[in-house]
Amino acid sequence: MTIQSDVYTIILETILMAAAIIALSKKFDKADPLAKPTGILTPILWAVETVHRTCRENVGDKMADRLTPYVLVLWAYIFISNIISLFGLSSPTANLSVTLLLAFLTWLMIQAVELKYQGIGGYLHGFLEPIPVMLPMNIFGKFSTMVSMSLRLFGNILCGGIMMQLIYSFCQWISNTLVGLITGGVSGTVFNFVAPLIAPLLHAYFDLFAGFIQTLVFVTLTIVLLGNDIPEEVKKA
Amino acid sequence: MDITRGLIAIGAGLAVCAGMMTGLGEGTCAAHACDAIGRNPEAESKIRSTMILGIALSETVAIYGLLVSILLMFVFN
Repeated sequence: MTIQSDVYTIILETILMAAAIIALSKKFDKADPLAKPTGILTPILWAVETVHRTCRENVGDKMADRLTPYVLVLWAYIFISNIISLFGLSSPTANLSVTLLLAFLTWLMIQAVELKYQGIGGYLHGFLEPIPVMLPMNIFGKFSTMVSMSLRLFGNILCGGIMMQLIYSFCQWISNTLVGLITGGVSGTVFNFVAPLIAPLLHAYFDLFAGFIQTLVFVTLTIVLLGNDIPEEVKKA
Repeated sequence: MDITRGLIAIGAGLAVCAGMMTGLGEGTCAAHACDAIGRNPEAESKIRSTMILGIALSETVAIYGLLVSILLMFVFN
């Protein structure tokens, strides 16, 4: 059995990210809760409050306290992974193993919540609804959440990378042709001078914007799907 | 002459056409969400999460098409 060379990069990047997040949380813990937040604490405070409010609206007060840390880690990990290709490293989320694991964790939480609030009998009976013939469909439906969530993130990030590669090779071709026209037919591989003019805007779209939107979608889906399985009276309590 | 590579490229191109109608559907969904927010601005957060859920579900089709074309290009090449 061979191990993909990507795996070592992913592990290294994950360790670096975890170290950065732990260091930040140490700083956050030490901060005076009554003083005015300064520097990097302000955006973090805003992020924590926003995520906590969204969780409270969707899964109720009690569950929100336990869900918020998980959602914040998802935010930090997926967003940094998506935009890390801007710094010349490969994105961990462009590997299906990583996104499948993230989606599997969310899926496991959804199943646990369903089991808790419906009981084993209700959970198993859910497979036979609305009519028993739907059993195979319901079994596929249970797993489709996990598959589609992981494939969405993976496909978007991978295809952003592929698009950027295509654009770079297209710019290389334009540079070669332009130099060839000026020098009169003699064209080897020249410096890719068209790419710095075109690429930055597309990087902003494919890496920053798509990375942000996909993170938002993954996190919102996690919260909303969990919230769907919690009965209203539990949310109110 | 090897015709397989050309056929694979055509198949990959056809598979991505799954995204054609998905774009239309997602645009309609977002437009109606804008309408709803304009009519009832207090419900913005609820509308937003419902919209993202709907968009994500319909986007799955496009993602599957994308996956098929990626598989065609990199696995069967």
